[in-house]
Amino acid sequence: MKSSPDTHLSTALMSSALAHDIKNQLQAWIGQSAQVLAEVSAADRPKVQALITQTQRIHQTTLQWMALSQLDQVGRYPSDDAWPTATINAVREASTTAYPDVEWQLEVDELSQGYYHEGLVQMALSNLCNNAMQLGASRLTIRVEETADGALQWQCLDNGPGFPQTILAAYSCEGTSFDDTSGEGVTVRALSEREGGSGFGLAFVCAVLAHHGCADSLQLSNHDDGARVVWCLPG
Amino acid sequence: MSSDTVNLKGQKILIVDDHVEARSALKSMLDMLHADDVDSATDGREAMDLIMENDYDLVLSDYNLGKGKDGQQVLEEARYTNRLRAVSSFVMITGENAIDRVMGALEYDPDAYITKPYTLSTLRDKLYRLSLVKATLHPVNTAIDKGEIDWAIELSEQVMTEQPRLLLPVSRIMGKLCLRKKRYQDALAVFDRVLESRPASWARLGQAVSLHYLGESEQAFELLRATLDDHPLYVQCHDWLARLLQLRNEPDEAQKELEAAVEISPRAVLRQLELGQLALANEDYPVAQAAFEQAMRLGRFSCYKSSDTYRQFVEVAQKNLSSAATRENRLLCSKAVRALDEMRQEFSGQLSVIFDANVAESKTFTIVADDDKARSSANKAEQVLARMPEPSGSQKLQMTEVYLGTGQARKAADTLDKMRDEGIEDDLQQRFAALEEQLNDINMREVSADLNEEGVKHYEAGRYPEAIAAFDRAVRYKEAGISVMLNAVQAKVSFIEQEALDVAQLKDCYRLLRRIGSVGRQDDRHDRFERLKKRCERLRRSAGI
Repeated sequence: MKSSPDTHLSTALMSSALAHDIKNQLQAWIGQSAQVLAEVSAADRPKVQALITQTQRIHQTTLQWMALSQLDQVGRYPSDDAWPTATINAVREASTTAYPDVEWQLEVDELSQGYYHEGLVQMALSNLCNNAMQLGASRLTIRVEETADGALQWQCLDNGPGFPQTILAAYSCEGTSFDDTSGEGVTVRALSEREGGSGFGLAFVCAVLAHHGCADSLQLSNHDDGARVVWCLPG
Repeated sequence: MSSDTVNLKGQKILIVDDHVEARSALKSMLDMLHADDVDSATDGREAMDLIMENDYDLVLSDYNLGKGKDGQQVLEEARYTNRLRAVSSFVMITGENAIDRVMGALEYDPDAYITKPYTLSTLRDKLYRLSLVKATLHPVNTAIDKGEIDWAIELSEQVMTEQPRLLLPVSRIMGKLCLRKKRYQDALAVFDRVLESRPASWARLGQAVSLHYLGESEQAFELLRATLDDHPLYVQCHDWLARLLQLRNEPDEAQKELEAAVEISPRAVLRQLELGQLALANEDYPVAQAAFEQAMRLGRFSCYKSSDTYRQFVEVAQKNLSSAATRENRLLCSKAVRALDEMRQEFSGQLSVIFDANVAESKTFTIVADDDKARSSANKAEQVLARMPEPSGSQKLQMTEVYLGTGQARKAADTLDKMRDEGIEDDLQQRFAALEEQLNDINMREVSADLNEEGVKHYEAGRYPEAIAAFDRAVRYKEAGISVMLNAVQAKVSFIEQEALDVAQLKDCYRLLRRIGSVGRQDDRHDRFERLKKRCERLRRSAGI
């Protein structure tokens, strides 16, 4: 039997190869699910849709997991020119299968431009929007405005049940900085205890904002119709 | 106008991905964007073949393409060979967050990145943004394609003033062009302007490079170190640190930087070559051998393929070879020979390359003491040299080296004589003199051996004075061996014992014994040396000296 020479593979390399493979599979899944939905009969559509929705959650959670495991690595997620409309459109498109009836209102200048890691911000926004939709929100409004100091202020408003008081109380305390990214992990003020979720949705948003040096900008509140989340990113 | 308006109809597009489903998903998305002229490639080699044959408006390539070239290499080769015009677009798709490895590239950077997994919306939006930037920069890119770089810089400046939102893409192009035109002060201003509002790593690298060329190498050095602290995988910073360290005459440190760069990005041919050359100069042969071997492997399907890489690999392998009959030696020797076979095959039309390969092969066989094969390769080199219309002086000297290595001193002497008659170029004088000296040593050894043989004949016939005369001439050469000197002593002692007590001859004996010094117990000649010493001592006492 002919044997090949020994090859040394680091666990980091193997892990990177697996990540690459997972992302390729997810990429293939995006194309295949779109094709299946286009071809399936109206009668079968709800069943297929449920399956795809579940898989989509696995997809998003996997990506977040992979991102979190690498977020501490210096230089891993460099910022670049990014456009909020593109970021929001990608999130909206990804949620259309699971929540086709949700109404999206975008109040964003097409030319509005930021400086952030698009993939991370997309995941964070996706987290917020999906949480709201899972809780029954039928309308989402995303607003992006340029602040006086050149940053971009993002607002995500929904018509869902709003945040519980425990979460709101935790996020209303002032005077503490949450932008400390010197150690591993991220400082969060409270975790959600909602059934069916990991409870780390907001924590992930915090981690992404901390990566951009903007964790302190996160504000949660309830408005007349539902929940409001506000944060800033470099403009 | 919005991203919904993206229409790729009529554009020539190439998609490159080794993953069949990913390729087909991308193809479907492009269909939805009305693309009607799409080629696909499954690896870097196929991609380059297609790029060489077609003029693409847009290339979408995955970064990780399995074995062989990666997406960054495809981009480098496409731009390097001028097969992808500046007005065309290259979009890099990264599946494993390799963005940090490619977005730092200052020289050959993609026009946009997409991170896998991406949706149709992401792709559409990315292409829309890209088309806006490309449309705005079209005059600049057209000037670049025409080679009007100063004009392209001027146009970039105009775009920057009119479209401040394009600060990053325009500055990147402009900074690069200023560096290319050696307008370092202008380049520095461009990168400084970016860094006032954006902490972009490529701008810090550009700033460091500009500062270096402006004579502020220390500042450049510190800047590169700081950039690497923030961005440890920024491979180009390691490359530049290596260059600066070499200029500071710190070659070992420079090698460490290049090794770090190769660790991050092992597939760049030029970087492997640079590491090989530096390690060779540092006499770190294992590292040099590994680097040249990689460069040779990677270069096979690359625009950087060169016979020099093969030659350098074999040159280093020779340093690691010996005549010992070990498994490692055998393996390395056959690896070197295979490399030379490939070199001859790949560059079969070039006589000078074939000559180089034969010369290197002969030297390799000489080192492993395979004299027959060394001689056979030397003969092949000789034949090729004879077919070359105008062999260079350097090639003739190489041939001389091979002649000397394979025991063909006569041919070596003839070649050197002929060269001397024709006149030797200045830059070859030193090499010529060294070979001449080597040839003299060989001649001397041969003359000394002849005289020794003559002396032995006289001695055996009892003609001691004639024997002494022959041995005296033989030992006059510094190359004379111990046996020759012992023969001389023995002839003189026998003469004194049997014919006449000649004090001068006895003193000669002592001089020769001192020259020999000592002969170890393990040496076959030890007993003879000791016996002759005793006989001399006895004669000295008899002579009352």
